[in-house]
Amino acid sequence: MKTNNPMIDNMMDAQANAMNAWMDSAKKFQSAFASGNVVAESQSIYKDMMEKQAAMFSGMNAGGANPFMDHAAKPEEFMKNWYNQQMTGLKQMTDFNQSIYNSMVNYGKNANDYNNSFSTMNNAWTNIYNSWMGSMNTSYDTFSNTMKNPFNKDMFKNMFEGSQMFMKVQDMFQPMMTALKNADFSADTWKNIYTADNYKRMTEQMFGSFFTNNSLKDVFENGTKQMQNFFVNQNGLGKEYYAQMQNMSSQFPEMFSGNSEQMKDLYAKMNNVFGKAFEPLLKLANPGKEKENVEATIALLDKVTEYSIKQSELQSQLYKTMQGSMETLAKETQDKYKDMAAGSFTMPTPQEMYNEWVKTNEKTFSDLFATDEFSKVKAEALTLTMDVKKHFQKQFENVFEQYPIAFKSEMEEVYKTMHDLKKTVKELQTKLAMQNAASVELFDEEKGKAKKK
Amino acid sequence: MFVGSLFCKKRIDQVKLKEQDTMENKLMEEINSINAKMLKSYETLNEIHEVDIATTPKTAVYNEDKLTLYRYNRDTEATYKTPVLVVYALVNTYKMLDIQPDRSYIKNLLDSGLDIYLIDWGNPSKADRFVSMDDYINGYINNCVDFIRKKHRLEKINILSICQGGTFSVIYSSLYPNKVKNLVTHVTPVDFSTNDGLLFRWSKDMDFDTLVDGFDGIIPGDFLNQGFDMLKPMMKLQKQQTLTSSLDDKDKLLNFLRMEKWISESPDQAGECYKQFMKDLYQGNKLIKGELEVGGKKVNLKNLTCGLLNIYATEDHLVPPAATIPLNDYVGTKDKELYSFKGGHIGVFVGSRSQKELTPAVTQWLKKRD
Repeated sequence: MKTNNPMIDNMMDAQANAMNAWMDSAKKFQSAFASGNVVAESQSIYKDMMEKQAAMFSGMNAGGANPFMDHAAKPEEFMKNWYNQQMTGLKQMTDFNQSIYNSMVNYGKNANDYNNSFSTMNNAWTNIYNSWMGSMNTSYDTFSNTMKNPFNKDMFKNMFEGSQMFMKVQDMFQPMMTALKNADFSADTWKNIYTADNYKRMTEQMFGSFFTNNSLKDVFENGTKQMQNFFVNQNGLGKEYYAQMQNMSSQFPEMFSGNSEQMKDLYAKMNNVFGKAFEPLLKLANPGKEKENVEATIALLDKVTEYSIKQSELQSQLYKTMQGSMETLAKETQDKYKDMAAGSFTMPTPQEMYNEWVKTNEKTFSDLFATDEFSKVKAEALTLTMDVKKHFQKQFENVFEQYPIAFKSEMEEVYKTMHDLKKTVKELQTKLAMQNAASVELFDEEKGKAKKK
Repeated sequence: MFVGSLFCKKRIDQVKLKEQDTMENKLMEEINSINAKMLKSYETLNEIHEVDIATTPKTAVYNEDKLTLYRYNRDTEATYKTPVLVVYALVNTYKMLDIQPDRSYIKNLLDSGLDIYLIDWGNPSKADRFVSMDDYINGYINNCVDFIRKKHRLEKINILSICQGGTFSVIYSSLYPNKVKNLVTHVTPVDFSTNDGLLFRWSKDMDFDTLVDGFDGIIPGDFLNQGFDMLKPMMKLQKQQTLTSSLDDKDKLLNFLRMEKWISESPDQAGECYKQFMKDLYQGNKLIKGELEVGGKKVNLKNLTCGLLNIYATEDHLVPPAATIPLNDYVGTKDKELYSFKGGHIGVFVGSRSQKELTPAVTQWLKKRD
């Protein structure tokens, strides 16, 4: 398929060559496994592959076409990423083939041995996937930099993200399909092997807006910093309490672990510290703006903690649903292909597997979203987000009170006044127009009467 | 015996390797094909310089604050005596009604001989946070209706309304029955007691005072879009994935891009209006109960006495039929009709059935009452 665009043609050729070379090497590796000479042969096969890749890219450069037109600096960067991707992929492929070999060696051994080798194979696939996506991300990012229209650029990015999810699903499925082919698959094995990280990764990609941990950490850091300043200003009065606060800070990352119980414990500890330790201390401090600020900071941290717990509950629901969805899918796949021993098994295409995954997820997530529990937690988390924001803004206003800055609360008064004034003016204009119309009508009427006379 | 079992094991291994090889081939083919399509999409996207939507010619005839009232240009005289005012929702923009020339609800109505006016609400900023339902209904809509009445020297005009714009128009027609001749509502929520749609379910638990305050009085369009995305959790992924199969078709890609552009142009919402809409309607269901007040005026649906054509979509996941259909049971008019459209919320306006079936149904209904 030639496109008349040297860049596209070159890229397509390179892509096809890379894939062919990859597949060629994979086949060589596999026959090496079958013959039992894998260790002896792999080095030369790998070397051969490296050379083919290098030749392929040097051939591409020798073509002389500048595929990136006026973006002279980009081709090298892109090619470098592309080349690295192929090389890393190759290495991973070798590891993967090695793991298949190990799996074969373990054939017929007990379940534990099999599970171990299955895990290795799964890890090998995950590594291939990660390496592939990592380098593809960089490559496509460089690629999209040459796109001029920002809207189209966004579209390209979205499409890439869509295909990324597709690849991620393949990453999840591949070991399962391998196991199915080996007739050693059970849904339980698969469930045991897949780690929470895999679910987490996919869930976060799907529902990114629910995972805003970084900004929360900032809030925490700012809050604790402000408290530190306060106690330093109070002539070191709170030195030991600050140390305690630092200990608490080191525990904050747990709050984002997705473990509701752990967070509730932490929350209780925090309340204990704030209630029993800081409060008496604050009684000693001189009343004034600074003290008010610290009190407000404590209130803010309290809100943030509440929010974190709620957010964690919400995230936990999403993770669990994703996990449930995967388990359902594993079970359904197992049932579907239970006749494979009789030889009636037909390998589904990656697209078919993806479609099945989408269908199952659509149902499980829609079911979750329709529950009272989800609706309530989502609403509470949202309210707490806004509450935290409000407290934070109030803090901001307190801190910058001395500066000539118009605050949100002051601007709101201005907006309200503007709105009310506009409304009044419009009402007066309408009344005036009606009066004018009535006057003209009256004038015309009187004029008519005068004429009659 | 030992040699025989070794031979069998080797054969099994070879069969497995062959099957493994086939599976890898399939995956590699798929990966290769996706990448090839991605590369092709880069070329196609670079060839597309502008993604135009809402291109049917129109002229701005009235402005008030951020609002613009447009009148669509006609080459010939309108064949209808009564002009039509189109009232769209505050969510997203009217441009979906005119997404592209061969899928334009507006153009079809125009070609049928109607004289069409349309309200573009504009994009509220923080300065508009206190703009209320009273301002929208008793202010903006009423002023636009008066402008058209005056221009055409008519007592009453027709209103054609969409979604939330339909709810506003139902309220308006109940408050000002002497100014509306006929009302056409599309996918318009009026009975909010249902939990059929997730939006209806979720809104019951939400604290809208805190939400509006937290967003500094202006609800971001992106926030609303995130909520809409969650109604069909996998749709966005599926959409992007299936798109790769049509990347080499410029027309198909443009169709997709136009819709994406429309979605991306989501105006923010004035907080005060949003708050009342969500609290009084989604949570309180006050319109149906006869308890709604707008600008100090009580809204009584029995006062809606104009002709009513109520169009709902059978597969609507945003405004389920259960929220739309009951309108006809509560209004005062005897001239009322319910129209069932087989499709979804957006399909009503851009689907092929819309062009073939809905436009003629609406224009014929209006013609009979002109």
